Amino acid sequence: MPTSKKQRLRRGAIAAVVVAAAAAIPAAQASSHREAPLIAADPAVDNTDVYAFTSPDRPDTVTLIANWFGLQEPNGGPNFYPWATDARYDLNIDADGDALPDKTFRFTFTTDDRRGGKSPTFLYNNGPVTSINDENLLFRQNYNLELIEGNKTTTLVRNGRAAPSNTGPASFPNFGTIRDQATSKLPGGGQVYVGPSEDSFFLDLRVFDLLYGGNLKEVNQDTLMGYNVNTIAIQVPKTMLALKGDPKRNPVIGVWSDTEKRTLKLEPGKATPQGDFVQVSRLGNPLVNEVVASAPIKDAFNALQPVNDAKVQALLDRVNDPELARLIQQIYGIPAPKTPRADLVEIFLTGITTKAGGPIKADLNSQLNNADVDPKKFQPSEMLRLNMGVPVAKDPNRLGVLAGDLQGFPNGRRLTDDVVDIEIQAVVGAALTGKLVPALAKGDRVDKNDVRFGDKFPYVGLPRNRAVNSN
Amino acid sequence: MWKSLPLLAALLAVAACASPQAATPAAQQSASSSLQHNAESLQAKLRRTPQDAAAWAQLGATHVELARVTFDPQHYSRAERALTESLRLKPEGNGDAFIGRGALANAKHDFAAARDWGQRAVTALPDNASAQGVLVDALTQLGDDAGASVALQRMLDLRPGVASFTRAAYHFELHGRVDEAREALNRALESASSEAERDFCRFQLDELKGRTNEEALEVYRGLVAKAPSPDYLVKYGKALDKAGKPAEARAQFDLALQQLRALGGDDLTAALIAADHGDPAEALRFAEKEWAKRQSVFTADALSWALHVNKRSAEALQYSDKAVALGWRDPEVLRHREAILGSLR
Amino acid sequence: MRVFLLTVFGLFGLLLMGGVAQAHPLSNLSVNHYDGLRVFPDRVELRSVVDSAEIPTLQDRDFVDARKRCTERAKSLNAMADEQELKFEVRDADVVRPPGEAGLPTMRLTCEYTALLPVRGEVEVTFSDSYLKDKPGWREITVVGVDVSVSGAPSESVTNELRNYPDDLLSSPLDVRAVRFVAQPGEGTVVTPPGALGEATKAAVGLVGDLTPVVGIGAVLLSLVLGASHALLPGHGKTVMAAYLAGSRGTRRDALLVGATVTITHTAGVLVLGLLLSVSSAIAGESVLRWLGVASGLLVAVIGGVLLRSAVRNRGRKRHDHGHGHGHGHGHGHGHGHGHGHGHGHRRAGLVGMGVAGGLVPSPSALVVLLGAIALGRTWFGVILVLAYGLGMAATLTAAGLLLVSLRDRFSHRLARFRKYADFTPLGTAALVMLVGVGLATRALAG
Repeated sequence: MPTSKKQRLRRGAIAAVVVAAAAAIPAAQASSHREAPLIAADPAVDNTDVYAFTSPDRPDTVTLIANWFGLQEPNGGPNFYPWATDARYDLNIDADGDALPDKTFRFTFTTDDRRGGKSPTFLYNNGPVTSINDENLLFRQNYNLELIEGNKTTTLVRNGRAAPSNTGPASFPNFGTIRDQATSKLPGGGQVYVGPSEDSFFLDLRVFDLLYGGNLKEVNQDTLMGYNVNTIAIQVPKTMLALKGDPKRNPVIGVWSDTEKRTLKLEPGKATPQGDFVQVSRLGNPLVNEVVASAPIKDAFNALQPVNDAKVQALLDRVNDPELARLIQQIYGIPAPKTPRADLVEIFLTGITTKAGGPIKADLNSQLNNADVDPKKFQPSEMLRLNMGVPVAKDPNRLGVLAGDLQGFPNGRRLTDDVVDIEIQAVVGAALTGKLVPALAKGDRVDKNDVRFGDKFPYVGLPRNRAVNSN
Repeated sequence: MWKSLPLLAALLAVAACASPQAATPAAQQSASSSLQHNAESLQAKLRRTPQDAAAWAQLGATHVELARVTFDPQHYSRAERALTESLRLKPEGNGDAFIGRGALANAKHDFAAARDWGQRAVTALPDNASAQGVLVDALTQLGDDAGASVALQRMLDLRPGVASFTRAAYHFELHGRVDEAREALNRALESASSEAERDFCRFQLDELKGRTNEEALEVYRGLVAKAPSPDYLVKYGKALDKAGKPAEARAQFDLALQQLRALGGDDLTAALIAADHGDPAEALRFAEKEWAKRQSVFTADALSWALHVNKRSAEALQYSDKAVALGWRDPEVLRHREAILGSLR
Repeated sequence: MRVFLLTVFGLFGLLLMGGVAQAHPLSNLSVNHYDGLRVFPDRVELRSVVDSAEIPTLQDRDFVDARKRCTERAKSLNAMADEQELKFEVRDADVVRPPGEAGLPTMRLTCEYTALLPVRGEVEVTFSDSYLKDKPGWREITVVGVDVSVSGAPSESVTNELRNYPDDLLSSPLDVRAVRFVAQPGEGTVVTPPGALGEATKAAVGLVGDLTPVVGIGAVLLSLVLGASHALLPGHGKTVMAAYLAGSRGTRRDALLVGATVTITHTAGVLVLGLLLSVSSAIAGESVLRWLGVASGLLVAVIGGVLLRSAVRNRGRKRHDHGHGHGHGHGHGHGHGHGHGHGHGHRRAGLVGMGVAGGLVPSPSALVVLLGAIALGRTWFGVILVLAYGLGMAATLTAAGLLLVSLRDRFSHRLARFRKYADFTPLGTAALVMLVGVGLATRALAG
């Protein structure tokens, strides 16, 4: 008996001190001065990652995955992470290289709240949820998926069901079933999943401490381990994405995701103040905000359309002369390659090609390599570029192209690509020399995700349902 | 317990050297508030890299937000110190710290300073919505309606979200556009991502709708129990008055005045409380002092009311006109105006 | 001296702890709570402190008296021992109103409660405090066992029971509203000394972890100071040693001898006990300490006994000499000389014994420093620190001894007219030494 009690106590050691957080008070400090929230995060519309790769089990298709709402803690309880209902979630494809979307997959959401009443603590679900239509599931979200091609808009999915947040093993005894049910077929072949997943990104966020003199030797922990994200995964035939529907002649596509929200006009006074949709978040290449864009242009970058990238000198400057390379030189004595960094311009802004006068002698993933692209209309812009013609690697290397595995980042991005290490290597010039810099070979020392990825759509890990650090 | 002395020793070692955090085990657990969580991850980051000026600035700004939602003023001093550290590390072009400084100055009702910090923030971070937000708050309070409107529209276009929608609601309210204010608050509610933000939106929606006296009693009793700020005390006192409890009401007004006199604070609030429940001469002193600092609809209303209770209703009228010039139709403001007009008839 | 050292200490602590705010509560709006539980074999005692800042004190118009308030406050305490609810009865209540900002009063309410809780086997206890739960403020709960072992909750108050609040920007204020712990019959909790001493001990341990040359020297210095002030605390046989030195006409060399013995004994004792404790948790540190305490007391008593015997003998001899003094003139001198000579061997042994007695019981804070160092894999540095600690102790004791010796020398001529009483001094001090020794042994045995 005493043993069991001791074990219980040991297990509960972390939880031994139970605390309640201070209750929030709606601050209305007087009619004279209303203090409204200022630093209001809006994680529901913040892009965290984009992936694009040839589907390993269906090589005639491409899978695009975009994540939002990072750092979701699957504590169970009252925390859940809905999609914003006043936003547009877009996945954009540019196959002709003009930096404008040829095709946009647009997801918009509505909430079906069956909880009744206004009580915010009212339950998300009322007992275990075993299927997506389980009546115990009280808070539901549905989505419409439209394909926008120029002026043409086609609805691909109407009132599709988004999988709910995973609020714990008691509420969702088998989330796999729910996820299967939330996966819909698309007309013309293909499928789509909308709902939570385990965050596929793996890195030690502390790697960015080195920007402030931190020590790379201390990193080795997947700081995103145990967190979930909201995921949109879509698998479509390559013919649907390629320029002129011909992936043989035109294998390269550019991919980025963005989120738009409708603003509000103060004047002229109308009964319902409306405004245009403005872009509030954008993502193509991973870590672009951390590695390339700096604080002053971060806000601008999130609002910037790719077609305007080349006009923002501050952004070009950052790519041509990244601070990270100089910091690494200071701390590790690894000489920063000469500036301007035409190699990085290729990786981030044009795609790797011999046709733009860049230093990397390879033709891999620039739209300029598409047979039907008009080079005069080509616009350098920041997006993730995928050559769909590269066959699926049998044994993918986490370092991707830098390690000779041409199917990996920066040629698109697979879930297993170690983009942190790749980008650090690229910043210190590995793409120029073709050799990895040994001193940084270990990078952030996190080489793979903590959960295995699936081998079929949607490939991402099932969302966690245990509190972070609880096991 | 001697048996566990090695453990104790190790714990002490950890407590004293590894991280100051260990001395306060609660920190890791009270994660239910996202702001608190935010503050804690910034603290963890700064323990690793104390040279990170941006993280210090964000910590400072987070403390300003925490002060707002918890009503715990200790966050102000923490904010101040964190921001000072950030500016020490990076005095120039430190937009995040300028934003934090501005937010802090606004919270402390030093609106002229807030405007200056806001302008510096906008220069450093031209596309940042929070920088615009600092400016919106300061300009609104200083009475620069046109300037505030421009900054607010810019803020809305940069980041349509809780922060900009709630400010838009206030803008509409001050212009007498109550329906639009409600619409903006509903959009803010839809965008809210934390319970504190949702609480704020719901509270403001209820304020806009108006409360029955029972509701007011309940709401303000609760608020006063948590945070006896002079403004809440006055609202609670008024509800008590209406409920036929003048003695209890009086106690609230006295407490509010006592606080304002002893510990200082907002002269505007002090003027209004003194005008209704204290010494008229004192009320006028407070109102004139605040008017000298800023000529906004708020100070115009306070000054008009203070003049009126000092039997100078003719002078009061011009200030009352200013108070409603934008279209502000706050019930209290209208009550003051009617009394002034009535005494002039 | 004592005040001075304590001040030095406080400053040291302040410097090292990165600013411990001495100011009142976190803000003038806060209400701060501390619950200190002491678990005895038959009951739980609770000291509950509520520290209200200016504004809540102003707001609190219903306050009548402390006892009434403590009775009301008990309603927001909730404690369960296994399945049984504990009922807290007010034992004592007190309120003080220290002035705060702008001359406004603040309020510090202290309630002492007792609840029956027989700890016969393992008991799991949960305790929560929801008093004024919506007000911002510091919330802290500690649990110690008295002849009961407890585990699962902190034993030390970070704020010294809401007297000073840590003010580190990189940690958040404590907000502990509930604890769960297990109590079972066994050894009680050892608490490091409160206040500056405790803080400084922690700081010393902290310095061990983060070792740079400057920090290393700092840690050694701090250990010296810690040892020195530890010896200032009561219960170190200082009086005994002083009396002994004074009574046995000790010299400066004697004082140094005692100091050296203390250092060697203490260092050896701490090292042996510390290494044993870190190797095996089967050794109950407290009982070892207790037996060492008894041994130390007995040693003092034995020395006292030996002294007493020789004093009685000497006295007899002196009387005799005195009687003949009229005739021989140098008789007194002879007697004196003889006494001195006779006492020499005894005295050396006595002094060493005294030093051993003074250093025999390892000080908990030195142990903590050593064990902390071992835990951090810096055993050798820990040994150096303990040595420094012992030296510090010795310095204080030696200084006290030297002070007494020099005082005695300076004032001895003025004492000349009391000479006839002086004859009784060795006798009296010897008796005193024995008595204190017996007292120390008894206390160690009982404690």
